[in-house]
Amino acid sequence: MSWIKSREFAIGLASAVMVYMFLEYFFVLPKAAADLTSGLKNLAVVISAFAFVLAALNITLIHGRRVTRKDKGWIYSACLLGMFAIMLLIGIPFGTAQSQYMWIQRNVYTPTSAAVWGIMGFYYVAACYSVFRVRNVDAFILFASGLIVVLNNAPAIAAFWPQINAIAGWIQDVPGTSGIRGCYITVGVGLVALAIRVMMLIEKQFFVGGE
Amino acid sequence: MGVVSLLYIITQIGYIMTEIIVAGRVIELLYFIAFVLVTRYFIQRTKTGWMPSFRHIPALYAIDEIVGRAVEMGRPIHVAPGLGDLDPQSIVGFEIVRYTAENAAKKGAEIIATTRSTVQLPIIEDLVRTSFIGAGIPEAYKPENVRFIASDVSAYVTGVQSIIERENCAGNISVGQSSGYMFMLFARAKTVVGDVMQIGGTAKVLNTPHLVATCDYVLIGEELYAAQAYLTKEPELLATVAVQDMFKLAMMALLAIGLIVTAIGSDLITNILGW
Repeated sequence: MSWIKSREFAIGLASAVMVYMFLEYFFVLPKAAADLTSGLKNLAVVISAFAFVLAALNITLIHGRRVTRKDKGWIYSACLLGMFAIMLLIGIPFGTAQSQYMWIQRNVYTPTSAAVWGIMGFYYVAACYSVFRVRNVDAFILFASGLIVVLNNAPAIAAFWPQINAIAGWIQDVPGTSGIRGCYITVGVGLVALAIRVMMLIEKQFFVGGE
Repeated sequence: MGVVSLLYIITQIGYIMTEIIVAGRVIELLYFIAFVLVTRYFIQRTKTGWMPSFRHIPALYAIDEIVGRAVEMGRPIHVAPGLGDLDPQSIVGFEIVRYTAENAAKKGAEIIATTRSTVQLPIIEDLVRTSFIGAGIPEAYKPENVRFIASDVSAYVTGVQSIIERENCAGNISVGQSSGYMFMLFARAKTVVGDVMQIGGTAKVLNTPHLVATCDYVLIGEELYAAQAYLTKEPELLATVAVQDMFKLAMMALLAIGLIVTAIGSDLITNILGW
């Protein structure tokens, strides 16, 4: 059974799935093919679920080692392991819809997550400061267009100067959108090139390991 | 008579194609086949000594600079393949992780690789481990330096921020899927930690300004998909990048034709693209 661990087997299996998915996307296939497609997609979900076990082991080993060695910041690792254990002990036997589990979710996880998002505003101000420094003509154009769009979103400015709506709208709709669409087209071409490289097995760095 | 027969055959082929190919995907398939054939042709040409010229992408060459800087400062480098799972951008992210890990192994820098995806974890572990084995120093590979942080993006970003700050990273490289949260990661490293050299990259156009505002070097859009070719300089890969550019020109020509045809009141191009 050593062939199962070989690099060639992994590449062959991946290639077979790639060819099948390619055919399934472009060609009208019989009904049985649709079942096979959904089966493959389910298999991907199952494999992802297996990977969660690896991730849990990784977290436990890394943070467990940090706590036992009393490394810098070990108290945070201890908190993480504690929360991890609590969530597991409540979630596995009683399910994730259980009231205690939901209580932690609503009163611990959601507020902390929202707080992290809330901090972002301060970073935006710092980033604006560094981006909007006028050092050359390009930077001035960026600054001027950015300033108009920002002012347009302040209701008081739009009330005093209604024409700003049209100017900001033009900046967003004409130069902004055309630039973004140009990027989308080139990204699309790049994506096709990457897909072809992967399908032709020229780009295969993720087929690592093996014997 | 010959022309009539040829037209009849072409019509029949067209009819059969619309019967066996999913409606609306005929042009997509033809585009794909054309791309494959042209790529195949130019790959063959590289075997006869042809080599495309390519422009310098500073962000990719800056990886070496970050590794060298980390060695001099005796500090680690953080590297991550973005926020995705196994999407195309993550594939590029893996290449960046592999290249950084190989460089770090050869030059003696410490590397910390993180992910928010459980599926990416074994791949990154293997990439980093094989890089150290390839450099002839398997004993220098530290399994604890390949870390799963959390699936939730806000938790992942907070975790990586703490790694960069607490473990005093000299460089931060994150190329792949991005979101607004990644802005926070790069911004914190820039404004709070300060002397962290950063490379960001994403094909997600709307997140690119976040990276431009906070990173020292940025891979923008399609530059991302050319990364492996630029890093390895393998003729086969460079040929595909050249083909990529040719098809970009073809797209521009198609846009111009479409613009003219639409301006004169015809929807021919729109109809053909809708096949």
